[in-house]
Amino acid sequence: MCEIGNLSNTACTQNASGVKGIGYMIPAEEFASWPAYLSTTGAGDTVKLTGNFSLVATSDIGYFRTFPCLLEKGSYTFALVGGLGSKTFEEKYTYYIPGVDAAQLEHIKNLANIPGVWLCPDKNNTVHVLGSKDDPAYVEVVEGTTGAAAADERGITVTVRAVSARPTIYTGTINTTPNT
Amino acid sequence: MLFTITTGTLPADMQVRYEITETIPGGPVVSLIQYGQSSVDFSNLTPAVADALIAGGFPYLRKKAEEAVTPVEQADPPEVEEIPDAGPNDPDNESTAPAERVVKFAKRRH
Repeated sequence: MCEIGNLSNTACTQNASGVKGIGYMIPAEEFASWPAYLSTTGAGDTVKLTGNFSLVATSDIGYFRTFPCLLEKGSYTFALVGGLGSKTFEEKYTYYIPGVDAAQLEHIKNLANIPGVWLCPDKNNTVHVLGSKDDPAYVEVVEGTTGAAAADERGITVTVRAVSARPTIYTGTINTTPNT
Repeated sequence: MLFTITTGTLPADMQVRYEITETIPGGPVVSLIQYGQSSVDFSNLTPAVADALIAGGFPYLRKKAEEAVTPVEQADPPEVEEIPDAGPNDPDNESTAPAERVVKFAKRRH
């Protein structure tokens, strides 16, 4: 049976828009397993993952890579797509990496075709998950520019896309240390 | 090798005051950005960061309860043993001084 409850009107003491200045990604193959959703019945629990991610023990990998995101240039968006009775969540994470130098270009080169999982922390301290171990997200669009005029920006816009049955929130730790 | 974060990962002085309630895979440096800390090194955790994580609702770190202070056991009063005066016919009696007072400390009872 479908379960849908009341949506309470919360006191909006904190509802900041935008995403934080740091994001995370990891190749999907570096997950040892994928956590289940919470089975508790609190509001929002059915879109929250339980516990912490379990990553592979292989040396030098098994950690989330971080990247910067320029202020007011990133966003997490989602839309329900598909026909009537067949809706799917299409999620997108857009972020802007300042610079088009060797380090940024190499990062994009390596990122281009990786099936991965991206974590998008928003300014409200909610960490949105795009992709999963067996249903990963991909880079959809990358646009880089040196800019033309002095007032332009010089950097790379990356858009990641995931398609899934439901949105996902992560509340655990984000390991940023490679295995020894 | 996969590292894990336990109470033993914390600095020695922090292990006395805080504990990890559940083993955390990875680390010792992790990001807890949803709790306001983009980078936390649990092997060098400070009280300020620990308290901030707890205040932010991080579920795997807990402050240990203040240990009850054990009151210092009071020493028993010294036990005084009177030695009777030696009799005048005692061959070992070389003096007529009054009886000596020997003070013994009672053994502490546990």
